[in-house]
Amino acid sequence: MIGYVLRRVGGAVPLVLGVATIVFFVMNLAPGDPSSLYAGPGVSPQALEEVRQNMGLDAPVHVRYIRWMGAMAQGDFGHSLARGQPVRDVIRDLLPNTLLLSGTALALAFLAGILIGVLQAVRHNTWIDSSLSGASLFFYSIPSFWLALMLILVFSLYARNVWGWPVHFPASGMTSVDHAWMTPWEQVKDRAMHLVLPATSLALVLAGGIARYTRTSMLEVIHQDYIRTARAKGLPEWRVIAGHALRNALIPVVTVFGLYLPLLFSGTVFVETVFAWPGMGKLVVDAIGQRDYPVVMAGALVFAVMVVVGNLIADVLYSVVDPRIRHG
Amino acid sequence: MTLLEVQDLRTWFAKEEGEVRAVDGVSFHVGEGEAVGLVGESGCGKTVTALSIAGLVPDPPGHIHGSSSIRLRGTELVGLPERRLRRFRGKEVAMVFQDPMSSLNPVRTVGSQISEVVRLHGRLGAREAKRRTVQLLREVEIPDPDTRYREYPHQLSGGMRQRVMIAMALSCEPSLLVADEPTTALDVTIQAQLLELLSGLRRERKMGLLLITHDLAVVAELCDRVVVMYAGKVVETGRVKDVFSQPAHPYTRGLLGSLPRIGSGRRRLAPIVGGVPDPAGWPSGCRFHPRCPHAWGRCSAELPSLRRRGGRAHGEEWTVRCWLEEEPLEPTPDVGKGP
Amino acid sequence: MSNDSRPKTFLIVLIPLLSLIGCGDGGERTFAALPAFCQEVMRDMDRFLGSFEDPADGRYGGTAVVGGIGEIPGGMNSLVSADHGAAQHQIFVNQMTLIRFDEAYDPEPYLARAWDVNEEETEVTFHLRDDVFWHDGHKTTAYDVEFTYRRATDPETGFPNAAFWAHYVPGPDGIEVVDSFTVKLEMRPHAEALDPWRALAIMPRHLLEDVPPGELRQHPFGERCSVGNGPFRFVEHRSDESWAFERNPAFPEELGGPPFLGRYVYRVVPEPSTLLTDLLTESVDLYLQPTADQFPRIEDAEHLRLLTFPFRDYVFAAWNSRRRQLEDPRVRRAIAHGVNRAQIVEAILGGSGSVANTGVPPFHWAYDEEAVDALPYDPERARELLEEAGWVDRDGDGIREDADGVRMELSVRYNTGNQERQEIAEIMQSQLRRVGIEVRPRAMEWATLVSEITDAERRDFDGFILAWVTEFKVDDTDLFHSSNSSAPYGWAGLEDEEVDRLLEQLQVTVDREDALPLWEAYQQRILELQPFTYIYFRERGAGLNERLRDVHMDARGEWVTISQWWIPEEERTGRPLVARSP
Ligand SMILES: Nc1ncnc2c1ncn2[C@@H]1O[C@H](COP(=O)(O)OP(=O)(O)O)[C@@H](O)[C@H]1O
Ligand SMILES: [Mg+2]
Repeated sequence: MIGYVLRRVGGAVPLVLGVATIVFFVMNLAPGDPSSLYAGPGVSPQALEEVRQNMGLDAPVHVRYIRWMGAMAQGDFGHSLARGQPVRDVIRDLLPNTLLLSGTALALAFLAGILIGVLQAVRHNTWIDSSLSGASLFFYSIPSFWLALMLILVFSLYARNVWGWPVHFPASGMTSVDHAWMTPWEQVKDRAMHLVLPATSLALVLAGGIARYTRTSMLEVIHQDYIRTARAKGLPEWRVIAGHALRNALIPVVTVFGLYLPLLFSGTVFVETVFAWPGMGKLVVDAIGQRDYPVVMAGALVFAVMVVVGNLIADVLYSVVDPRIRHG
Repeated sequence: MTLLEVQDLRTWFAKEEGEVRAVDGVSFHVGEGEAVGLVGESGCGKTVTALSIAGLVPDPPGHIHGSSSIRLRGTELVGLPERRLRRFRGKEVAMVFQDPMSSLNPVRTVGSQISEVVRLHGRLGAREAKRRTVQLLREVEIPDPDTRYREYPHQLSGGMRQRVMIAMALSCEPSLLVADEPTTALDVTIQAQLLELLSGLRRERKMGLLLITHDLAVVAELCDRVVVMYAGKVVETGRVKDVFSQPAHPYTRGLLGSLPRIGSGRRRLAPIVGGVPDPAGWPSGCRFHPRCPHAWGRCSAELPSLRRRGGRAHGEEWTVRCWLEEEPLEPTPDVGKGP
Repeated sequence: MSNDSRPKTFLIVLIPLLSLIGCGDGGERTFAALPAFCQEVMRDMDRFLGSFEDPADGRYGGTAVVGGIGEIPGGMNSLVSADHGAAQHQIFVNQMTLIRFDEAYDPEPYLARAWDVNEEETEVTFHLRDDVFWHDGHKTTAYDVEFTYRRATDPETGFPNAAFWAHYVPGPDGIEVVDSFTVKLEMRPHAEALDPWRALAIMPRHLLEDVPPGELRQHPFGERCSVGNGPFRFVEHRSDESWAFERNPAFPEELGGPPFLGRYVYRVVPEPSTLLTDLLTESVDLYLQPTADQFPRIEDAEHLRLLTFPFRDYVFAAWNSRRRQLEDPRVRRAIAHGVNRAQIVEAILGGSGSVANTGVPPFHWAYDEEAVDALPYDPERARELLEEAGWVDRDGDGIREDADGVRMELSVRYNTGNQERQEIAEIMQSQLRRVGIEVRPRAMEWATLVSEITDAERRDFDGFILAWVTEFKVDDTDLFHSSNSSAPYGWAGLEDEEVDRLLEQLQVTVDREDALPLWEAYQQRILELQPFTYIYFRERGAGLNERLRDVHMDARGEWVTISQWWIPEEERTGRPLVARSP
């Protein structure tokens, strides 16, 4: 298994490098020069030239590419042009936030999606099935941005100011301002409360798709001979579903896991913006607008690696749920 | 008391094309410790009959008619609530299905699938259940059962898997084993081994057996009695030695005619001309008449009833549904239509 | 159930939950994640400021949370940051300037307790306070001023406001440290000679002296561990999330003493709707620059108040006079007459703003009241001017052509996603069509737009819409002096002797009385030449939770009175916040 993982990681290196190279040239050939963006309106031409030199922008593109690759090989991502800080530090600040958000969203999406899909398959062709199908389609097709704002409107604003619910959720940020003064338990709760809305809005979009996959796959599995065998054993229906049908039905759903990762990461861009969740998605999008090349490049690399790792996880999960792969 | 008493079983399927009368008024019984063969061509309703007995007919689209009766040691199973029915499944009535490749759950170990039943009905602890499972695997002559316990179905050969199915079926010492073409999907040599194993285990445990097959040689070897089905109906029943030596129904004769002589190897049967009719619309009268070499006027008009054949010498159990038999065994109020 | 499936599925669910706990901050304040430089200075600040008695009664205490949609780019490093919010944090919150403006925008002492200018107006001497400490315990001295000045005038630093020093003598010769608290600078006479010293926060020499100027931009000081000398000390910056500051208990009594607030947090909330919700749900106390359509929501909420105040940013359309269609000033005047700017102020700002005619803001002492009505909305006049200039609709399509058949067609750029500028472009399009000018609005990504318009060699545009924040010292030399016509900001390509002469004279006219007629003449000339169509000065707004008291804002900025903000004890929320975080 470990050998396999290493081989996979090794195989992904050219892919990641390829992504980095493409992003590098696309970024550098796009019009716009970061020096004028950061230098401000009153900068003297002489100073602007100095800034360009400091930023390493005076060299031709291919030289910059080689320099950058060389630095990368030594683990040096360079400094953000917009923030001045080492890119490594910025990413160290923001990556865990994005992982927390997307990890939670992913877990939520799969839990909810699988539950709904199973329920639909079990209650196949009833009103439960069709209303859940409708709901899935709804969440799948409405603009995510709008959904996020609606969640804020309902669960932050109206819940607190209009209906006076005992529980309402913060609309933005990762922690409360007085987080540092809380007991460890309160801190965990505080973080969880801040996580609810962004994770939900990210998860809802994915859950619909996962539910549809699960439903289809489950309907197929339910008609398999081994399900009849399980029933012939005298097992109660829920054990037939949970113990025999579900794991088989999950096999194709695991593939979706790998497919959904890029979708998830693109989703984080708007969720991070709407919920003021400091993370990689917004970082990279902002950096593109600011022509902050080092951040864009490093961000692209991180996302490429995350997708590769995600697919690796999908493969591992695949062999967890399907022993035929494990021994094949 | 008879172990299994099936009376006027009607299992119909609601389909777009209309009602499919897959099993349409089938009656037979299996005595305690008795082995009964249920034979007939593919599509004649054997599997549906078996599923009906275990209450496994998918509903919808399938439905067992309320007037039908399936009694197990006197308990009526038709109309029994699912919760109570479950107590019979696996424990009293065990099943072995045709295709061992698809009948085992591919993502769970062989051991867990057997011990699950043991724990469910035997109320055993995990360790006890495992011990019992390994013992069962040994009984069905699976080598190295401790290793096999942890393996997945895809790691076993077809024959091994069917042994696993048998072990699973036997795990709770059922009084009736329904085996639906247990060897059809397997190699010839393995078929023989398996059948031998099955009959041995059955005799040891004095278990009733309903063996569904279209291999008459198997029936001849293993069974006490035989029930011949055609197009959702029983056409002939009787002791194996009677029916096989003097088949009364032209269909039975056809089946037997296709049985190769001992020593010349086995072939698939069906030298009877024509194919099994479409269950969505059975032929009128005797359902076999379009294929019957002896059909005459009445055959296409009226459904013959089951008539007793021969006398006491045949245990009063030899019945045939054919107009060629002179003596009606019973009056024929129902001409094939259900109430 | 299967004996091996459950634990694993369980784990997948558990991982995010665990990380929730793993991320929880420990109670101790640790600087482990900071660069080595920062770990040391943070400890020094804690040690030094921890030794002061912290007032904790009455008005003192509580946390104010301010929400804005953007980060503070450049942070607390005044030598490299070009952002206005960053500058305000430097000069009002974390650091100090030599002088500051009072409410009438007249200079008053701050870090410098006094200053004198020699008769020839060529030398200024600042006398610094001797009781101001950097937050790490070092005294603020004249050497810090010298250090800041030298770095700011060193091209290698890439100081973004080089124009500050146009009338100073750059380099080591221009500045002399007389003693530890006295510093003398050489300059040329200028009307707003001292303005840079109001805008530029002094930086600590003892921490940054050894940093090569070219590396200041990358130094962690500004973003991770700023050491200031102002009323609030830096506590923490979380990228894209928040900045936290706490009261500086060592702030001199004579300057008002330590501020009332125990803690001030700036939060980044990029989406305006979310930020409005935060204000309405009392997660933030102050929402900076809400959009005009959010004003009513803020006014209607019981516990909120809407502050509006005139500000120095204006929106304009710049015209490239090198273009055939735009070379005649009459055409550019016709554009101004053809666009109903008063209506734009109503439609886009909901009235919170005023029509602009030049870059001199309404509160400026040189603002020309007469210029207000100089270019009213008058389509008839616009048509006359175009006809005079030889632009007539010759083919009957409603759009004018000149004698050579060149169509009066203008592509007007703005940056993608900027709703306001897009709407302005669209209004211009529909209104100018009526006088026979075809405007084609064109959205461009910001970076692309900037690089295209500042590329002095190509100047490949007809016009674009942009906003600009002026300093109090208004100086259009960059924009309109003919010598800058091919410099990055010489967008209009104006080459006018009178403008040149006036700009030059304005630079050296020290006395406001003398300068006033020059300013009037300059504004009149700009009205005539119309290198830009000035559209409006926007009023800035802020949504305020009324629990936060004594918040006053004006053209100096949002944070100008932060030292006086306070929260009544009974209205402080959350935990009883002490001044220092645990
Ligand atoms: N689940 C089902 N749905 C609809 N029709 C069915 C179903 N199962 C069986 N049938 C019908 O019952 C007929 C008999 O099938 P079966 O009992 O499997 O025959 P066999 O004798 O080969 O075992 C089939 O031809 C089919 O039309
Ligand atoms: Mg069958």
